[in-house]
Amino acid sequence: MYTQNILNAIYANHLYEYCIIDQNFNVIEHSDKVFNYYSKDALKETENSIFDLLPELFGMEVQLQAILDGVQTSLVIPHIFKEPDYYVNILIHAGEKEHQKNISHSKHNPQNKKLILLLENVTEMTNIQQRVIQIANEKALLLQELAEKNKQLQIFNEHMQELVDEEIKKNLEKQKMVELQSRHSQMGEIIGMITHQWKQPLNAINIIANVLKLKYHKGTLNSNVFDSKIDTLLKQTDYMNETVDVFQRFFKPSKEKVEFNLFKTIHIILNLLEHEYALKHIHLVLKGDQAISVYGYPNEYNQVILAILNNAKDAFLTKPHDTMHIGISIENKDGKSLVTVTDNAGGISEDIIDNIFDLYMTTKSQGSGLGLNIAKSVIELSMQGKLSVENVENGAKFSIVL
Amino acid sequence: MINRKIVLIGDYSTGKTSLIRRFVDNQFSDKYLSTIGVKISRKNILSSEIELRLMIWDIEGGTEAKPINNTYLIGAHGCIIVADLTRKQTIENINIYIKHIRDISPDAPLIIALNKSDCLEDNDTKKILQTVIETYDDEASHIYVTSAKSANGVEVMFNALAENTL
Repeated sequence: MYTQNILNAIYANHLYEYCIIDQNFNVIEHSDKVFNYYSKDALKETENSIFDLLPELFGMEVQLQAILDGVQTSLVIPHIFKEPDYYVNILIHAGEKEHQKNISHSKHNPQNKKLILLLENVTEMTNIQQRVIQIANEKALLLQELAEKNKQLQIFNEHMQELVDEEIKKNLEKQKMVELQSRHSQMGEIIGMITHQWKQPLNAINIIANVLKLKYHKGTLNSNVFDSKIDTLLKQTDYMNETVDVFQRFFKPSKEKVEFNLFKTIHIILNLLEHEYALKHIHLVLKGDQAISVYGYPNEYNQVILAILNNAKDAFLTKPHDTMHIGISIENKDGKSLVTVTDNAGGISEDIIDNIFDLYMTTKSQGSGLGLNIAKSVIELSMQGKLSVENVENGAKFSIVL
Repeated sequence: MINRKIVLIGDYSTGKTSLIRRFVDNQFSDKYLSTIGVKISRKNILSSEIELRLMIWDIEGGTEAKPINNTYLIGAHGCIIVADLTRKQTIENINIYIKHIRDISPDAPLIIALNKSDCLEDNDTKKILQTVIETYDDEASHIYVTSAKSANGVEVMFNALAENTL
């Protein structure tokens, strides 16, 4: 028989190698190149046990025996990597010697039972599969990662919203606190102004009271002197009452927009401030068109003027000089009112002039950073005007257009 | 010398190949190369004064589209199911692999490896480990937290499984 030669010839041009093993799992026949797939260690030791030559079959004795016994028809172990770089499929089938097949009495002789192992080289196909699966797995990993990142982002966003809400709450509380401090500071200023305004009448009242007392004890107090002094006392207390009324009106928010005269309105605030500024040697001058009226909130407008004047006053306190001057000018420009407040306090640093109206922007250690920010809101949001600032020679100029 | 067949199964890209490479060659690479079919590595160890030749089967990772081939599990003396600590799904799929191994080798000792511990904070790892212990304690003889990258838990895990196969 030339079966083996024929098979060798066929397998020489195909991707298959084969070996035949007996019931003891020893190799009894094989194709020429099947050695490529055998364990190199086993070949060195001239082993012929299939479990040494193909360790991949170790542990499968039960299955091989089942095939030998005809209980199981075949077994396929796919895609086994073999050194150095082969992939093989191992296909195991039952077999018998041909010339004994037709002899009935030997058909069931266990000695005739054999196993045929086909080793199919699937390297090329497996490498292609590997590339496809590699791409698919990498894509799946990226999608999983993306889904995970999206989930994290969602959690982060939810958490971020909580953080934002918390920060907003904190900021509102902080703003309230700063506003409260600012109001306290403003009240302190008001009390300071009232004190200045009241000093003179209090002195006068004190003197009159002493004069009345003296004249009474000397017996020189007649009805003319008494009436005259009492009239003076009443004038002084009227003045003091008026001062308190002015302050009350000034700091009370306007309920609705009204038409008001700029010169008269600004004059009120200057009256309140003139004593304090005079003590600090700051010269206040109001000039311009006295007939211009605008539509808006007069008290709030004056608070803007006060914030600008306070800003100038603080600048003078930092860098005092002999000719400290603040000029307030009122004019009509292009059909709108223009009020400018110009000082000679050295001007505003170019680094901060663009942010001077920002919330909490202050250069003063005790400053709240609210004054000019509120001033801008009042003019631009409440009264639809424009508040701006620029540096001029030796100082700063604030412009209010309404 | 006693031969022992150890199989590593689990989802794709959980680090099965890296764990074997770390155990057998003490090497590691960050590059991901998907395994096709099966690669068999060998390592001789001494366990309880017995010389063992471990034949370690690195089996292609399972995916939804392509579950693992049960033929590879035939005759396994021990099994390591590998999950990726950073991918929840690979941990949830552990029960699928337990079923595979129990269908083919009902008595083989089974270990769960929670791999890539180097990618997670210790506290997060502990939380996951606790959940896995609560879920799979009855099925697995051991549960290990491992890192093929840092070698954390690798050798001790293979040695424990080898001893369990005796």
